[in-house]
Amino acid sequence: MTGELAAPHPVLGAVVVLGVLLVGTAIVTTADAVVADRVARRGLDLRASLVRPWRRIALSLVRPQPATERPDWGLWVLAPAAYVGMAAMAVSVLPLGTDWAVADVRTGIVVLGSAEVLAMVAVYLHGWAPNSPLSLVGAYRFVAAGLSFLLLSMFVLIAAALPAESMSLGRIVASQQEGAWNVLRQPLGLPLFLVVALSVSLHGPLDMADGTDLATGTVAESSGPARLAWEFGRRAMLTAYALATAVVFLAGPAGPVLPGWAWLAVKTVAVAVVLVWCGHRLGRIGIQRYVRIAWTVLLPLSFLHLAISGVAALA
Amino acid sequence: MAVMDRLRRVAATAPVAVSVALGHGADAVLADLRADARVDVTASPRHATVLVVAGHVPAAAVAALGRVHDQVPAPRATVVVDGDPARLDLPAATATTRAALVDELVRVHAAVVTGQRHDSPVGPADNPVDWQGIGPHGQGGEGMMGGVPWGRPMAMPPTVGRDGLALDRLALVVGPFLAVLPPMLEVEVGLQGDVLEEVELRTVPPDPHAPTPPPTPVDSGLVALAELLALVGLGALATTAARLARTPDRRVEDVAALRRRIDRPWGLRLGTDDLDRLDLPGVAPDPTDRWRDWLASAASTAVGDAHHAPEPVATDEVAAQLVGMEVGHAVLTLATLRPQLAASAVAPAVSS
Repeated sequence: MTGELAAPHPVLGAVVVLGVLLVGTAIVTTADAVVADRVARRGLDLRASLVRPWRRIALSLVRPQPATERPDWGLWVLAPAAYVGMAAMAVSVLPLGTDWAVADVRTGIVVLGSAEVLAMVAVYLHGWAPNSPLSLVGAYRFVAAGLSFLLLSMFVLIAAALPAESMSLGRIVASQQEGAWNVLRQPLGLPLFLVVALSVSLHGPLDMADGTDLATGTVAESSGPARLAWEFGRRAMLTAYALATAVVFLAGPAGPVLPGWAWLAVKTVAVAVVLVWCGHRLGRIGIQRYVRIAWTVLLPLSFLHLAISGVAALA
Repeated sequence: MAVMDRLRRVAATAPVAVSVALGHGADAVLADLRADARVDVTASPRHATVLVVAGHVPAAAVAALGRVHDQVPAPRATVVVDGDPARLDLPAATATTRAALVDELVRVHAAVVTGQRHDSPVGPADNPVDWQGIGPHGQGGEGMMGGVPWGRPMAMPPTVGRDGLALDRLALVVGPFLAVLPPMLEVEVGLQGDVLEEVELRTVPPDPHAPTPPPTPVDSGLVALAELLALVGLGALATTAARLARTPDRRVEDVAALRRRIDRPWGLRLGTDDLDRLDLPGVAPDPTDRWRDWLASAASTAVGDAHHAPEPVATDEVAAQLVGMEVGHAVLTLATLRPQLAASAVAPAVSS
């Protein structure tokens, strides 16, 4: 693999991205239900675990969205669409097979970083739109968290680009096939990137915008399909960042016997299950503690990680 | 239409999305609902199809209950547990007993989803206070600020806040049925961003001639623990705690097993270790120690020791300690004081 990826027709590419997000969201939703029942020790009724989330989705589809006092309807509708759009943008630049991606841009990691920044805008608008205090506090909180994890993401992704001598994600995969996987040669990168994945997808201990302590924050006023759209966005974003983790640290489609897309799927599902499990076992961290740790521990660690990766790349 | 009918039939078999309005002495009902896989307890009434009213709701809280009722999106239904719907101004509500509650919820939920049941709103359809703002966005008459649209003050910063920024100050009153707060607690706050600048706490006491509730058949400490776990996003572990709370012959080994799963730096402590310490008489200063006390108490009652009722705390002293906290921290701090605040609502403590 040279790192040069073939790209399908744009229409086919859009269908593929949507398909990846839908299948990924279905897998994340199922994994979430199964892990929740395991953690709650509800017994071994796997069928109930598998069926329950789809019944919840049916319930959401038949429930209405009531109006709040002078909401911004336009933003309320656009915010989930923008959030899903950012997940789609991230997926579009990731290699989805051994030698192809929907859009093999040479600056793939910049696009990935841009998706995070614009996702922050979408989350803020989702909290702003209902004109409701707890939703707005959730939005405030996410901006504070966003400013903390965006730099982290940038340094981790730049470090991954160093051995590849390219910002193309296809080239980053190729460099891992030529050398060692990034999870081995950049061991700090994976946990730091998982922090980014949980934060940007509003999951588990780093779900700052939609926490239950704020009566679910930005989603507190949403009901029915509007809520379902937002939940789809969160899981689509988790899918996109699990996929990105598999590509950047686990060499994406690389692996013996199975076709590249199958290896990528296996690795992505494994990362997604780890992230979902974290959500059911790790309590949500307070925003002040999160910001403090992000700036005083994680960010210096990411500097160190970048420096070590740079020296290793020169050696 | 056939697709929608099919969808409604599937939706009718989904877990019942329940918003719980808790009066005094409703811990047993809350534990029942948290522990049952047929029910999803929601953090916001917007996510519910059915409102459950449990415990003694004082007359002073009936109007607030009506507002919560109307926040459940229509079509909706209300189920009152061991109470009189007429006294609560909810004439369309279904009355049931604790023992029959979940079966009744499943039935009512199916009726709501399939269009056979809808409880009308109890409040006015529009805002009861006239719009008083001026300008296209109702921002008042003084630039972006000023005016009292719909009777509420606009955000105006009286002081420069935490970060040297003059963010808009937001005044709001929440409770006494907000799911993230202990029951019968009303909180009036002045917010700057997500930081509490002013706090006033009020408990709604039981009506003077309300019947004395029977001793609760569940462990209130474990119910409080379940609510705390739910607040930090550990809903599955909250189910386990609630199940344990309602087990009459719980074993000390089961309490110890729950503690092993949550009392770790990456477990519940990730959410509580960093909360501010409190200086309140009769209350453990460390927030993590407060929920450890609940587990210790559950373990000691499991081996036959007598249960010690929590001492009430003075709400004004608690309020003073919440000033300067971030909203989420304040919510979790109040959750760690749930047993003491429940005691204060019944027998208010005097400030020391």
